[in-house]
Amino acid sequence: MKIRMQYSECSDNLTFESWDISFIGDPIDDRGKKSIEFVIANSKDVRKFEYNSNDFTIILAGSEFYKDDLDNELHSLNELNILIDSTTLSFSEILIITQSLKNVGVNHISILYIEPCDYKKKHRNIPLLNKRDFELSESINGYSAIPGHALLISNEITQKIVFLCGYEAERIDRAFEDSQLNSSNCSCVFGVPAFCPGWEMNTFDNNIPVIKERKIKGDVHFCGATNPLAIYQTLCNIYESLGDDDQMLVVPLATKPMSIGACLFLVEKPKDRVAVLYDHPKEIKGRALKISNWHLFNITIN
Amino acid sequence: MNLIEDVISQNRAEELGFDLWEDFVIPPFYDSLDLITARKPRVIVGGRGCGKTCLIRYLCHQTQFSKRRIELSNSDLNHIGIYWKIDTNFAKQLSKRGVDDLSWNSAFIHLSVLLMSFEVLKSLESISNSSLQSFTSDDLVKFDFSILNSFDEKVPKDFFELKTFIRREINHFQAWAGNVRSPSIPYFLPKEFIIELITEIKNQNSLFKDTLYYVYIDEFENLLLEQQLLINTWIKHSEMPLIFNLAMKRNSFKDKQTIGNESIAEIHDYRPLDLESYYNSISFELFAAEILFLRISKGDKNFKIPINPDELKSTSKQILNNRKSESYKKNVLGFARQLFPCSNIEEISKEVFSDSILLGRLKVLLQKVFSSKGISNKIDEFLIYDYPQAGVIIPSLLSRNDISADIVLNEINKLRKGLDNKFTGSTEWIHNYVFGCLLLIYEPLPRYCPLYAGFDTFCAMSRSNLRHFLELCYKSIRNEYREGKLESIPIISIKSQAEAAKQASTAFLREVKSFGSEGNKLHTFVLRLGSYFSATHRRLTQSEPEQTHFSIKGSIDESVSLFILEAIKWSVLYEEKITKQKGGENKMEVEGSEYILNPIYSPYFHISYRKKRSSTFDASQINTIVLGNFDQFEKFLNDYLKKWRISPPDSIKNLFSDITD
Repeated sequence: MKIRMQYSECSDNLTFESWDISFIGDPIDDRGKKSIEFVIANSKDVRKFEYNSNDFTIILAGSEFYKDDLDNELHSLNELNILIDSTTLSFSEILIITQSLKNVGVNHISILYIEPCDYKKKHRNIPLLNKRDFELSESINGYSAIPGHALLISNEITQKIVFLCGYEAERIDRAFEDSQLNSSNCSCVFGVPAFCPGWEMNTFDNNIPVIKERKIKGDVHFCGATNPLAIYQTLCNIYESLGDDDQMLVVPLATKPMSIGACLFLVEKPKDRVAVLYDHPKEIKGRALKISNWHLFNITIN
Repeated sequence: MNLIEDVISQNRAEELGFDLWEDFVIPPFYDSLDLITARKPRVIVGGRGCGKTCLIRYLCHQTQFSKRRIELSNSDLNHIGIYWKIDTNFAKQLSKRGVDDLSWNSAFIHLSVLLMSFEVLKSLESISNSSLQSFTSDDLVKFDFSILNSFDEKVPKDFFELKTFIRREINHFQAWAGNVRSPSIPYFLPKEFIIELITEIKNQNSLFKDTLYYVYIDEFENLLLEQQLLINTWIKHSEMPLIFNLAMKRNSFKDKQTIGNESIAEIHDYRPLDLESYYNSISFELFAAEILFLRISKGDKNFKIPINPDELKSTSKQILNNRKSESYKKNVLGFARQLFPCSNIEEISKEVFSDSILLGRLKVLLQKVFSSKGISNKIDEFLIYDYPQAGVIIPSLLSRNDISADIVLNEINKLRKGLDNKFTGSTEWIHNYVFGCLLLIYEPLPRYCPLYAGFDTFCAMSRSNLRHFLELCYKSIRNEYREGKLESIPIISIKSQAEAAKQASTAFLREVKSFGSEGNKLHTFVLRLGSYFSATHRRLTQSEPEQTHFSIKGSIDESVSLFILEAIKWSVLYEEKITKQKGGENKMEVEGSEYILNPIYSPYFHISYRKKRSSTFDASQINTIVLGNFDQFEKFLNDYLKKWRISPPDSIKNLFSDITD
């Protein structure tokens, strides 16, 4: 796996060739609109992609089919230059597209991401609310397998759980509520440095109580919040440390660039050894405020 | 963390593992549950933390045939329990995806059969490793399961090879479930496979001739509907040697259909066991204290405890009856109250007059009411040092429109002379207002409130939630250690307890966000309801003190009604039926419901944990609290604040208040 990363305060400074096909999602804030404008201006063919985790269906460019049939839909793309807009697509959508592209023989993809300037905080006029509460998810569907990336939680073998920690620590709590996770086999990864200095405090402050309450006793790692390569390498290091029969479950609740690194890890490793636990949140419209840095990741999948 | 802290901090069944022999306390009502000899499925219902998982893990082979259990007899083999919490994350993908429902049913049965069969084999291993001399590991290799290859010729006959075969089949199934278009479709085993496996065990070793296997399915509500229907079918047709039982939260048994045309019926097909109602029928306080002392004794063998740990594990009728006796109860509760003491209302009221900050706060309240009502007396006239309980309620009495300063002075006079008066007489001013007034005095002060301390207070705040109770105890003990006051633990200070109550309350409030798919909305709902009750507590008049529950007037939207059911399911709210006597002495009729905010959240909102007075919301108000946006709720709350003449909270907040709360 090779990842070439570039970032800039505006898209003009990014170096790229236009793409044959781009995958986009629904924009829910200003940066989503900006990224789609960029994608449309620089792609010959733009296809809207939507994954429904309840029905396991995909709507691709208006046509609906099951997730299990995506490879058939993408098999003709193996020679093309492809862009995935991660600003508007969810973690599960990026994982599904990337896996399918790998399955049909695509080795090179580009992924675009735009950072927000800030996230919307919870309404402050009502007293008794936590200062570090953010309004990010409208509802959270609950942990539900992404077919092809699921393993049974088992007491018979050692399963290493790696939480990529974000602002919404309650999602870690929910993972413990829903599944029989062994807290002594859990590790946490924090995005440090964060997008902005100080934002890491939101993640620490929100997650530490849950880590303590749930008695998570594994190791703690730090990776740049905007650096998919760093998280990919961290996950690979953890993977290398597993015993022969051990398995590893990644729980991506952190920034999108960290989720991209997790996707690349999950796509590359054997499916009987690694899997994902994901809860499919429905993001609140307008949750991110203004736009900050642009990132373009050019990825070569082995 | 020292050992005592460590053992008490383990308050989730999951943290204790599967072998609970040393940790489980037989509930005093155990004999009435009839779990060991039952032939009919049990459906165990209860809120979070009430001990469902612990109870069913206690019944399962890891605990019943624990290496730590010294006395075992062949008759213990008659009941072998299997704990099964289905991995719902994985199971959710076993539907749709272009595969027909019938195939998914077969796939789910196959996975269930593999997992349960594996547990059946593991149960034999547990027994062979237990203190039971009549069955050893040598007996495992004597089993010949060759009959099972009639289902699939690949099934081996040897015990250990069969275990490996099942693991391989589970792996094969996982691979197929990830890629259902793969041509490598597993051969789906039917439910009869496990029946045949158990039958062979019974036939081949006479020790097992009377054995029944009981499968306990935990968190049934998290399964997909189709999977629930399938398990309902197994419940309906539960028969020897395999009986299915369920555990779930309240309001979760929604669909009682089977995959056929039948549905399952209470009593006829299963017997419901509502754990919380059993707690109500006995002394929850006693059970909670027994669990606490057992944990403490595990952490400190020298700690003097009022219980015998071995007796808490006994299911003997005589010992259970002893545990229900008044003398035992008095002794155990006495110890618990000594360990977690409380200040009584008189002491807390006295402190208001002896502590300069509290006295200052009382004077501020008096000043407020003097200026709002134009009272020209001297404040000192109303500082009743000699009757502190009367003294703390004076600002509230004076703020009432129907009570003048002269009336209050007159009643104070009567009180001092020992004459009949409204403070202590039938008007019960003190009884009605003192608790609320003390809360009001402490409300803006950045210090602990002693009203939240005490063993009985902890039990009241926990209701029937053992996890909440243990967390309150754990945090109190931890605070005491942090203060450096504790070598051993004879008495936990009021301060450590009251601070622990706030800390635990905050942590449990934060946890609400993880309560299912509506977690975020439930969290917002608790914040809103708590803020409303908090506002009612700040009314100087205290005309309706200690409001912590509500009822609803008129009909409400279905979405609100469903949301309230969800809040009850997660024990955010407790529902109690309002009954009224109609047409005769014994004719009680249900006239609606009252909804009580879980009292564990009361320290966070600085409100009463007691169920005293109710608020009534109309349909539009409850709609605003449940579904309204922030602006709508803010307007709703501000309207009340204005009506009650309460300024926004005058809490003394510092830069870090929000973080440290």
